[in-house]
Amino acid sequence: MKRRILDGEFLDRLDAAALCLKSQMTGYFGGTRKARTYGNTVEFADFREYFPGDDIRRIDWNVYARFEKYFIKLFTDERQMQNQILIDCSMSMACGEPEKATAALRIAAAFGYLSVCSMDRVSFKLLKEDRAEELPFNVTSKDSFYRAAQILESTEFGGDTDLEKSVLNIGKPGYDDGLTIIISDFFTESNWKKMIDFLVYRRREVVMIQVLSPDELYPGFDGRIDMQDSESADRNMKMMVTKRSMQAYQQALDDYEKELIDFCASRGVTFFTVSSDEPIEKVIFGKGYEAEVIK
Amino acid sequence: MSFLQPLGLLGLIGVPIIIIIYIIKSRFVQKPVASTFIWKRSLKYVKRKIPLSIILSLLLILQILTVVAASLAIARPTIKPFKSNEEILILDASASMQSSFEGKTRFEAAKEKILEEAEGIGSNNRISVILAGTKAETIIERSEDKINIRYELEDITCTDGDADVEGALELASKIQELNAGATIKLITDKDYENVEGLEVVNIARTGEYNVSILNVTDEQLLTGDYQFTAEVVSYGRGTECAIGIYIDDDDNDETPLVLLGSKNIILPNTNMNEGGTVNVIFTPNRLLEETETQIVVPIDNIQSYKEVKVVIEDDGGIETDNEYYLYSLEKTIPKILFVSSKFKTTGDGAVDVNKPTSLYVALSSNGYVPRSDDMFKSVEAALQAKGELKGYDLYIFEGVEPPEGEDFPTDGAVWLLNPSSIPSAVSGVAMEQETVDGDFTMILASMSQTNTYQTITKNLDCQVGVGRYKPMTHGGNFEKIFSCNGNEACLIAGTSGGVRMVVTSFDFNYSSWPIKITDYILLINNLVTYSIPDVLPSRDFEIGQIVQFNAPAGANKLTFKYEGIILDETEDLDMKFILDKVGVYEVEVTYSDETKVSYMMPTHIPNSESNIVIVGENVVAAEIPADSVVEAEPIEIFPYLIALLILLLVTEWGVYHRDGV
Repeated sequence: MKRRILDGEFLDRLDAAALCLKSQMTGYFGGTRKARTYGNTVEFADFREYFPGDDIRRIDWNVYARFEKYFIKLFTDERQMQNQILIDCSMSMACGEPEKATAALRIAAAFGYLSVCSMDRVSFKLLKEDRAEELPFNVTSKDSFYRAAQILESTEFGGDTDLEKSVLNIGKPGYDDGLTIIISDFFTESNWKKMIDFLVYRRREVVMIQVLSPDELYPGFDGRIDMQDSESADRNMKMMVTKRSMQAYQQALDDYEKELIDFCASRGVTFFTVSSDEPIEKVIFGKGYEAEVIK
Repeated sequence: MSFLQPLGLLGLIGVPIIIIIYIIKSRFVQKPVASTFIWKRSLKYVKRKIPLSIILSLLLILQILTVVAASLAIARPTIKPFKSNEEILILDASASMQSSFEGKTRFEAAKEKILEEAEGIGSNNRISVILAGTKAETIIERSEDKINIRYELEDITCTDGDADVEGALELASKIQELNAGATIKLITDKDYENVEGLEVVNIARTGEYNVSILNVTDEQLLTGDYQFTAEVVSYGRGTECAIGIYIDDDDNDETPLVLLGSKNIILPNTNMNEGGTVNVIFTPNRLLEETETQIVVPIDNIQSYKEVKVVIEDDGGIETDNEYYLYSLEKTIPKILFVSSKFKTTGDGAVDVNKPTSLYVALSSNGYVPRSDDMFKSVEAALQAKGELKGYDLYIFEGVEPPEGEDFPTDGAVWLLNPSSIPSAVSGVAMEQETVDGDFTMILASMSQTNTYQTITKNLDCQVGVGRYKPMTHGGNFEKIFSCNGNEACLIAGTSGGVRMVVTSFDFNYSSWPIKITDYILLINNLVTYSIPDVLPSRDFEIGQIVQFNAPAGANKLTFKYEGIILDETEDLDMKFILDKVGVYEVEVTYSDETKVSYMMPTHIPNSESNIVIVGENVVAAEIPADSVVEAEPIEIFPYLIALLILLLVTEWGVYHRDGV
């Protein structure tokens, strides 16, 4: 099934935005993002006392005149980030009205486009079962982005995804070199906390975007229901859905989200939830701005 | 439970319908969802979640109950009211309750039982006590005062007769009308069957026995000596006791009774002996032998006696049935006025008794010998004595014209034998003057069960020839005894103006009665017996018996005494008297000439009361009057069912919406 995830007008608007990294990372050589290291750009960063071996051309003689000590001028460094966008491709993401998968892919594409615009490299990883399938190429330009988007539009959703294992099985998770965006409904028994800890340990900046459908946020059915779990028949359950059970559902959902938010906050991870029926503009320019992921 | 609208129960059809709906509706709707992850987590947020199957079962039960309650409400069921703790205690005061055992009578035990009931009934509850003696009487009515109950019980005593249980139940039913929930208990010593609405409390005790004298009779032997037979029994067990006979053989009331004979005897258990009794014979006959059921006690020769008393000395059971009195049956020769056209007179005009008529002979043969010549008068003498024909027990007018008007005797029985006319004082009888001659056969009229017919025809079964009679018609209180020539009345008997009369339409001399001398004497005896009945109806009496005396001619006052104490004096000679104490009653007849004659009435407890161990098939079931058990007004539970229905609906609603079904 092919989904339409790109909108030219929306992409034009995205040109005015940029991904915002909260911390400076090491990254890769040749980007536009300021790094913690000092480089050879023209933007002054700091002074440092001269040590033998330093390039004497960088000695600031004006300062020497004032302090009679040798100081050299340091300039900021600009690096390229290796962003990773992880998309939960479990069957549960293919459900909902509108479909959560479409929303997830649009969000992924949007963040991918923003990365490209920021001169960052971006890789899309499709989390399926206990593995992470990576697109065959890294997206470093708009041209490659459009190619990647076409592939994403044909993404197959199905099966059950173990977020922990699939993330831990990523071949090149990177280290202190970029942003990791995980898009999922997080309705999983998998140990997502361990997944976050792993990514934090790799000193990656993590953004978790939970995509839920409106009928998950506000179930609109009641009565004697035999719920057929989309991922596993073992998880089917029968129950009488009433106001009371609906209230319990809302409470359970709220508590689960709070658990996610609290844990993410404790690990410096950005988290927000979107509804699959929310316009992508609202997600990016609304919740993205609020979460300070977009600037 | 009963229903005012039984058709409402058709609503119960809804029960299987609900069950069918539940069976059909029990399937779940399949709903694909992305994940049941949150739903499963939501389960822990439902407090004390009741399993769905239980909720469904609860709902099913509630709905079925709702339908049942609605159906019942439509059917409008009614129930009997619940009983309160009020008790109506009927205390059996029959003679058998006097039975003593281990120093306490059954009556005393029954009173203690009542006190126990009164103590146990609790506060604010009421108790009633009805004494079922020979006459039922309410002693305590709906009292809450236990002290008063005890006080009242101390004063009541046991009677000597039967218990009027039926009357007591009627009284109980009247009290029960005030509180339909009251329970009725009959405290008795008899094994009454339990009846609906009546609880029988039997206070008879194991080991009780009673020795009793049921009857004493006399018999005059060929030697002229008297022999006495006492029928004795021992109920409950066999025992050894002494029995003796005392006699009073003179008219002096001051003379004490003299022991005539006594013996220690062994009595078997009458109940075990299937009701057999033992006859103790006090006899001067030395040849009489003893058998299993016959004990011989030798006594002296007794040619006459006034009073005898048989006594059994035994401490167990009822005391009052251990004595039995018997008084001599000495018939008073009645005063008879006999006027006959057949009498021969002597030279001075008096009746020549040496030339008697056939009727004279028959009367004499029965012992009704004349007391004086005044009894027998010729026609002329009788006519001369008009206005003086009073003071006789029996007036016989044979072949003469009886007196008319005020001269017609009304103080004694009257025989009109072949009268020339029927006096106007005799109502309902008419006789033609013309005689009918022929050869007719006089026979007994058709069988009748009346006392008149049975008395006059006793031992008579004969056919007699009649040559002449006068056609006679009868009505009123007269009854045809003999008839001839088809169905013509020859001898009738009955009453007119309260006077017993016998009327014949033939002359005995024109019949073959005098030839059939035996039957003739018997007929005359029966006629006298009918005309002049015994003053007392029997020789012995039972408690509770109602006695009516046959006042002799000339009597003008009756005095009733009990053991020397005057109970009542009356000039109403038809008065009835109830015997309610064990002992000897005396009725003293005062004649117009102030002479007095006493008749003794020994009274004892009913024989059935002496049997204190009536059990099994011999029990007498208490017959409760149809209206004695009050059918309490049924309570309609419609409002309660409606309330229940509403409660069920609310509960069902609550379960449905609270527990999420």
